[in-house]
Amino acid sequence: MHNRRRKATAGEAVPAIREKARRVTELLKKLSKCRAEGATGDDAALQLTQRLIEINPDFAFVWNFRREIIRTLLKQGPESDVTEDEGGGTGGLLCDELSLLEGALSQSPKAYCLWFHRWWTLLMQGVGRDLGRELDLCTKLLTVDERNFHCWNHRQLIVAMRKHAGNTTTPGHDANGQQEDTATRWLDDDLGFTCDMIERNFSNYSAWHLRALTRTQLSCRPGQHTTTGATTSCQQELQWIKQGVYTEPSDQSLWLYHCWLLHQAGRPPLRLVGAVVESRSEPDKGDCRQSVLLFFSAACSIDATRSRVDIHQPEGDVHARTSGAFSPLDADAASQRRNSRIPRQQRPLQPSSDAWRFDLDDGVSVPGRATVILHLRFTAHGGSLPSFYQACFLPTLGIGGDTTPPAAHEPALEVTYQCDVPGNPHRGSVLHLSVKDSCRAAYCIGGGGSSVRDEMQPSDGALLEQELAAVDELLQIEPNCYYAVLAKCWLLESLRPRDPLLLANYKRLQTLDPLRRGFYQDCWSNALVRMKVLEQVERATEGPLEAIDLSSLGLTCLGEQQLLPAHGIKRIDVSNNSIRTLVGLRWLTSLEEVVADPGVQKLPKLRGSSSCR
Amino acid sequence: MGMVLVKLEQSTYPVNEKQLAAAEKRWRQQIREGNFTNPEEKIKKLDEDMCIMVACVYALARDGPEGFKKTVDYFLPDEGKKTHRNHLLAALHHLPSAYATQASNRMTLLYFILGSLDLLHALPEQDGDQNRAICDWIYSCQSAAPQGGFCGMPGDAFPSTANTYTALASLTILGDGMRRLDRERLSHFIAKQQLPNGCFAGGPFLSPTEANADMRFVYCAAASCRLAGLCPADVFDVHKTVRFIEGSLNRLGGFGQAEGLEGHGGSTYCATAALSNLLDGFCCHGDSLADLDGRERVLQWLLMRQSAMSGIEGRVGKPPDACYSFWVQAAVILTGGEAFLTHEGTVAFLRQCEHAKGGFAREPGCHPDLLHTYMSLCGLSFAGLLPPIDASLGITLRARATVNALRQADWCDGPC
Repeated sequence: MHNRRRKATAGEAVPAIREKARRVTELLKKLSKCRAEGATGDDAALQLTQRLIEINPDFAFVWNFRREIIRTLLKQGPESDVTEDEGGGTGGLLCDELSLLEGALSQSPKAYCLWFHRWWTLLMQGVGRDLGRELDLCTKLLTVDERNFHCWNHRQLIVAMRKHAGNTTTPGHDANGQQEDTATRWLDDDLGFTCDMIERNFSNYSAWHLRALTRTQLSCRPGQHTTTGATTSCQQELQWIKQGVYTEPSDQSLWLYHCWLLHQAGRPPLRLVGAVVESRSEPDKGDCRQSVLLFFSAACSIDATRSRVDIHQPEGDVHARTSGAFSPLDADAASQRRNSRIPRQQRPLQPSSDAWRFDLDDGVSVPGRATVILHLRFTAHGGSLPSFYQACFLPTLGIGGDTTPPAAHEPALEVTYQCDVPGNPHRGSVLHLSVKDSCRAAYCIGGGGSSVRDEMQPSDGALLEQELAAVDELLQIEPNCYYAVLAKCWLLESLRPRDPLLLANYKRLQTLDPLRRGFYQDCWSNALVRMKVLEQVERATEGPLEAIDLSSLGLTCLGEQQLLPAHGIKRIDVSNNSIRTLVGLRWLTSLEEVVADPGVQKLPKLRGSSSCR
Repeated sequence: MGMVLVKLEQSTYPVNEKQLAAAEKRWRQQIREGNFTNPEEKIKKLDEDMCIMVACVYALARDGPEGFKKTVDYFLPDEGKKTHRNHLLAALHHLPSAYATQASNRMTLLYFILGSLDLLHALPEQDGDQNRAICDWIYSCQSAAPQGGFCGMPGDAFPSTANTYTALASLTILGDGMRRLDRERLSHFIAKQQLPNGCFAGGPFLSPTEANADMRFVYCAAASCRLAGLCPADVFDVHKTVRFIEGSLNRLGGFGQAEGLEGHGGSTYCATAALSNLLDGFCCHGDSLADLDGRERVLQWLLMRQSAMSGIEGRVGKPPDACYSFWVQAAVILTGGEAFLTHEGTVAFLRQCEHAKGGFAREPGCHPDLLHTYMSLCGLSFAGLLPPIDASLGITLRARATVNALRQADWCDGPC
């Protein structure tokens, strides 16, 4: 492996290397001969590979041969021997293999081929294998090198193997409850393991990673709470991190976990960031058709056939129920982006996009006061189910495809959003809906089992405020800790997105952490655009807002989400800035004129008579 | 990250003048009388050409940065430059033992060598003997029926996904027309490596549960298709693979080798570059992943890999390593963050990694090797100091032009 310190070879060792090389070449020749003669099933070949491995365990293709030989030997061995016999037989063969590997791993703990071979051997052992012992071995190796990436990954494979074995060995209905308990207990054990590792060294990012993963899995077990009760609540977790942060404020692993934890507590990764009702007059029909436009925080696939939109009158009656006309906002671009290299017959039924259009039926319109309920079903087919939700399904980690549900059982996610038509912000042909954060989500796998839970809770404002105060407290002592400043910015983004403090802190980050100044400049730019847009939208109390002026602000980028409140405008001035791309304007479907600096690339297609200066 | 095993032993060559002269004579004669009647002998000869290639960059690793020019001399030894030739021959003489433990990855070593030489404007002439000899050697590694794909060395029984990618990349760098490439068997080979969960295996396996599979091979498969001018969707189930990649996105940051595994600079590169190759690799950089869920967080995590010492680390809290100046920076470019890269620090770190005798090591004070030499050169390319490279394929833009030419003929619909 490249990631290992190489020993310098002194001049006098050269003859030894030569000798070693000569032996290797000789053994390889013999081995090739064995294989060519089809003698893969005898002990002599096994011995040859072993001698090569003893010289250097880092031999991927020698292990390949070895697997062939073992497979043949296992096939030859009498059936009765497959069980765990002491010493001899095929069971013994695999046991020997594990001991050999233990020796090899201590010599080369970072060789992909060794870890793979170990995993393969365990796989071959079948039900008789001792996975508990394997986990102990991982713990032992991680004590020697607590960041050994291979060992952490191997551990996860073993955990998956154990879970898989648990699922298959206890079929039947009665065993289900017990099985659930065991699975939860295992997760508890893992949590305890990460706790031990972190207590040994707070900076072990690998351990924090496993902790985040385990907590996600635990929280997704319906009605299950960890039995040990220790370090489970978000509050306790935050306290724990705090200890570490005060000891070592510039430890990135802690801050990443901190951010993840608050992200969990705060908004879900896939959010409906905005919804508008757009009216288009169609001269030939003489009337006006409406569409609901939906804007999400990430690309998703809406299953048009199983999603619908209900419009409720203030009294609560269903005013209109309509379904079946969802399409990506910019259908051409979306399909081109995702599928340009996929032949037509293989193109997914569902395109993926972060902006969707829903055309209301003829004669249906959103009244002045109403509640719009969106029953959306997202599919993973053709796009991706946001990975946050994927993480909630049992990971099919490593165990090939056997545990992957067949295509007919594509996981899906059902979310119900509520949007209210507010009193006034009616701008020209566009009506802005206010999106409520609260909604219900359900995961479905196939047609059968689905678990329903309130996944997306409203942002826990109190918790975030408390954390903001804690970060401020730390900054009093450690004013130059840029991780803390960054955490403060994230918290402000969720709590008070229009606070001028946000701008000041992003500017401060640029001096504190110059390596990432460009990134912070973009964050600053986004925050400023958000503030300026909202300011101008609010100022326009009389009549529809026609234009937004963002010129000469020192902007470097334009974000879709920040510009969205201005949806409905016809003209935007973004000149005299250092903006790199105008892709951020793509959600503003009503734009007719853009004033931009020459040389700015990627101008989206504009509706109507577009012009660009 | 270690896409392959690369281990070069540093050693001195206690070879005397007499031995050198004899070796040189033998070698020259072989080169001159390249017409072997026995095919086995031909393979042997080709193999020796490979030795020469490795020797060249091996020599590059010891003769230093200004020696980038010298590399050219190693290729076509000039009678007047005896010392250099001695170096070459000494390296050549020693090579079998330096090789012995990594014989099965010789193809990948070749890729590092050719990639380095391309960046240094030192490739063998397009129509020259050297070029032809190397192409012949690569094709001699094309696996026999029915497997398809490329092995790491002639006569190896196991074709591998990684060596297939590096073979195709090398052929592309050399400007080979790939007329001798068996595309049908190649696509068969690649398709065979896909597992039901969308991941790819590193080589043939008996049952999917036993396959050695992770994100590295997903990248190799995706890039191989593109390099060979195959449409990925004609070869395997693209959706499954895209889902596998997106499922490996880690909520704490970066992509892991598979779902639920820790984020890593190398696997993040493999994931983003594979997506880019699978989705719209031929379009402008950055756009391909514009709608990736959590793109911002991936980008931020990647940018955070640059440590205060200004080198780039592969995982959180690990020491910086020269090769991540490629993996991480390329992933940043692919996720649309090219404007955020700061080059001064990275270049300064790479200079520290540059060995006094030439070549690049993973960190200051270590010994140089081929992988780190190539990856560091790529890092210098991102900084604008060397010819530009295509982040999603790991070859120069100049070489990529060949891919585009290949593609024109038999591509599916959709302009780019």
